Amino acid sequence: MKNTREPYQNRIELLQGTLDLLILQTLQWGPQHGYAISQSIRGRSGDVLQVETGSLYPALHRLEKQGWVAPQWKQTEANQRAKFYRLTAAGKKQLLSEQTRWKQIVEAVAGIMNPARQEESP
Amino acid sequence: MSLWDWLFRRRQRDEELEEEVQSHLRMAAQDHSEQGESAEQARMSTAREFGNVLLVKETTRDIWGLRWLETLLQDLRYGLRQLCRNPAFTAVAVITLALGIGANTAIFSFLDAALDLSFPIRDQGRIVNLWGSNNSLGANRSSLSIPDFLDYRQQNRVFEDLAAFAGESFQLTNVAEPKSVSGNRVSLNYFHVLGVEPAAGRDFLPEDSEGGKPRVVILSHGLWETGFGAHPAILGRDVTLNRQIYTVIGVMPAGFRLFNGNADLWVPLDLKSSAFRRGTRQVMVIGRLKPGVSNQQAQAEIGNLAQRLAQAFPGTNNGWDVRVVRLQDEINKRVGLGLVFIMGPVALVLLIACSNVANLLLARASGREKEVAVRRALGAGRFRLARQLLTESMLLAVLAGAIGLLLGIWGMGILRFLLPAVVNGSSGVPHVDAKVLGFAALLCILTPLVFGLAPALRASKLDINEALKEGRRGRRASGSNRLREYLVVSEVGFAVVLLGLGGLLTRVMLVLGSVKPPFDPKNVITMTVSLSKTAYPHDSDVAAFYRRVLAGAQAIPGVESIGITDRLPVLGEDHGALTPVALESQPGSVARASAIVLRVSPGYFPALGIRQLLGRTITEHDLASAAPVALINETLANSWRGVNPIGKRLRLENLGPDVPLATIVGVLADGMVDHRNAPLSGVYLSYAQYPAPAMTFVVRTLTPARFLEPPLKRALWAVDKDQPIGDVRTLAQIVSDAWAGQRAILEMLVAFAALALVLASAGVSSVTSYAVAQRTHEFGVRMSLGARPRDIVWLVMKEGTPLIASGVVVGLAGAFALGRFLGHELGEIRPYDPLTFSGVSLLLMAVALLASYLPARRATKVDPMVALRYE
Repeated sequence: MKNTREPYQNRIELLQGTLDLLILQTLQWGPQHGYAISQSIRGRSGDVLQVETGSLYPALHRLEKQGWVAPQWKQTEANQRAKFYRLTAAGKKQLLSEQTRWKQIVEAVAGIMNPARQEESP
Repeated sequence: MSLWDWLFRRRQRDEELEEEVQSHLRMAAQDHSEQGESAEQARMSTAREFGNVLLVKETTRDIWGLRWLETLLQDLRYGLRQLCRNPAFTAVAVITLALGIGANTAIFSFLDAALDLSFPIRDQGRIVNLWGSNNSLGANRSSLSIPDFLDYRQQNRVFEDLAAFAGESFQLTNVAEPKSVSGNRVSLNYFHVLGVEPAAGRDFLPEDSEGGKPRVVILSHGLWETGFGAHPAILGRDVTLNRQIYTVIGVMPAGFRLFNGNADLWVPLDLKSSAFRRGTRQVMVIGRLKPGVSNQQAQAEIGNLAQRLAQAFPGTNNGWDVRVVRLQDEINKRVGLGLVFIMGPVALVLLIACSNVANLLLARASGREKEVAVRRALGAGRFRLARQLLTESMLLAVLAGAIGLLLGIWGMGILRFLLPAVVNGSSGVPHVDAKVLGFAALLCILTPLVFGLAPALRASKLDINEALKEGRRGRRASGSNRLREYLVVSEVGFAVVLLGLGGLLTRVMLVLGSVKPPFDPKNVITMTVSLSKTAYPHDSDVAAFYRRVLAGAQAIPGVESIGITDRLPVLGEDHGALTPVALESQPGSVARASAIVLRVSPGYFPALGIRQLLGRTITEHDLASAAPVALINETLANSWRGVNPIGKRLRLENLGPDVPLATIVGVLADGMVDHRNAPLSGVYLSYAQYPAPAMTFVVRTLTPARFLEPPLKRALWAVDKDQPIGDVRTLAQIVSDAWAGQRAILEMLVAFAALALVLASAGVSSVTSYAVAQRTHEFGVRMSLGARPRDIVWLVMKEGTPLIASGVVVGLAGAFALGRFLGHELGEIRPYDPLTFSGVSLLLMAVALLASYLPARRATKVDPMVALRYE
């Protein structure tokens, strides 16, 4: 299939599982609804990370099903009803372990991308 | 996620998701308009950013869902609509499959019943049969004598134990419906050796064979049900068997049948009597191997013992050996043959039905290309589409399965009618049970994979761009056509295999049927009677009874001649051992042979129309008081070529050394055949000199034979009003019953072959029709340019003929292979019988060509104008 379904040229594909981490991370400052979460991730990454709705909502619902976030229907600042997601206690634990895992991945990848230090060491 | 949750929270969750998405869209649109876009612009960019709302919702819903269940329900609904929209296609496909599934279900139920040997015997792998064998006599499934059995049992070190049994017919009287029941006399350890216990009551105990104790019997579950209405208080009850009282001590579990010992009751076999002779081979022997002992070890040990016995008792045991055969091997062989002859052909029919439906699906798929392409373009995955199409196939199969099961039940009725002689035993009746239902269900699952998988995968690989282009015409991509061509080749091939097999067996039966039996079976009625030892304790009583009945029956109007015999002249496959006989041509030198020995009355020969060749026949004067005489038949006389048998003395090994030798007084034409219609050596004795308690009256009548049944019975009851009467059959019936099994199998095969021929030609016809429909435009052009109808027909047939021809070739190869496998089952017919195979090939070519000619002719009926406009 050669049709072009790439709306954003500078979009970066998120690593598997990374989106969950980003969502949990975003929610640790307070409950948010889906739109705000996607805006927040986009803004904080300097427009580099575009979260597609087709990934965002399945991820949110997956986290909800795991019990890491809890849904809550509330009014927004603009007085609209929206579904807010709140980090649960289990979610906080999960966030900690995801953060640890992320650090390990970053270090491991960095080690591969910057092999100089290792080759010089013996 | 529970099913409950899924069922009842689904709607709420859907609504919430919808609201969540809408709020997202609203907020995004609001942000855009705050950045200064117009309302319309804002809506557009929001929509672009959000992407495919439906897809987002669907993938999100998947998180919660029993997604597969939802998809399945959706596919089923859609599939049902598709099937309803195209009733002609649905009907043809369902009927085709239902025929295949129905035939398979019926045959499966039959095989399951006939080969129902699934009764759990403890460590069945260790159970063996011991068959007597004697190369020089050509015997390899003979019984053993009781003295031999006892010696083997005592002296061997390889068996846990050996058990003996012998079939016997019992008259069950003093019940609502007196009847003849087949039973077994068994050694007391019989059930113990098999590792089977009565379902109620107890097994035999050592004291059960002691004299003075009450006689005991164990009933089969079937006899308990049919003979005693499954009466719960059966244990301890007295029943009358052969006019003796037996106490019921046990009932065996339902379904207990032994491979070669079908019986409805068991009584102890008295092994202590000194009357048993080593030459009388009358019991079948089974054994249980010790753990860890192989069949070969057992064979070696028993072979040694047999040799020792042959040295110790040369008169009776010379040349006799014992074969040790695992019960499991015998079962496997029989099941294997059943599969090849019966299940194989009907499975082929189902395969042909499947190819036909696959063909229909392929043809329909090309009509649905646009639909499939549109759905692909709208985002349906390839796997998703294939699954949807497979679900439709599954629906077809389930519908067909339901109808097929009904057809199958109907077919079981036909089988019950066709196969009374094959299906014996109360548990051996084809019927619907969990196993049969399971089999039908399995077919419903398997067949759509066979016929639906290829079309589904093909449709899912469709090139969307090509399919969506308007006005495509002419030949389709060749892949689909190639698949259809393979299907035609395989269908024709399968049909040839079936027709070939059916043809071979038909030839075998024709050869058998063209051999006239060596007696005249017309207008002869037979009636079997079995006298009990209690009512007729002495040989003279037995002889007197028969003499009086014969005298009475002789006077019945319509009786031309009447005689009695202890064996019918048509012998089944297991006609038991031939009796070894020895001719004392000169004192000291003997010529050995083996023969069937019959005890008959003088009237037997005229009743059967057996001609006298030499010497005299048996007369009224050959009584117990006179010197014993014997007649031999032509086949036996021929085996002693060069010796004039008249006046020579004949020793019958089975009767023991103290029985006076019979003098041969005459030679008769052959008068008996085995199940292959081959002549057998025979010796006839006078029943008055060698009486037997069970005899069969053979009556040649002047009127239709059946008319004489009531007066014959009256004549018998006039002598003894309490004597039960066994089997009453006409001789013609006996002859036809002897071949009933083979004939039934043949009839089934021919029916399947015919079904295969119809289905295969329908397949050829549908493929050709489809090809013609695709080329309507082309034919229009050709005809408007002056092509004659003949040319068009030739054009169409040119495509189909090579396919049909290659199908025939492939099928012939398969049929040859199968024929070679059958080998000796075919008798005189060679497995590559040219007559059969050329006939089959011609028949199939002719039918298939006709099947492709008809649609080809339709092509010529096309009005060129219409064809060209058809765009």
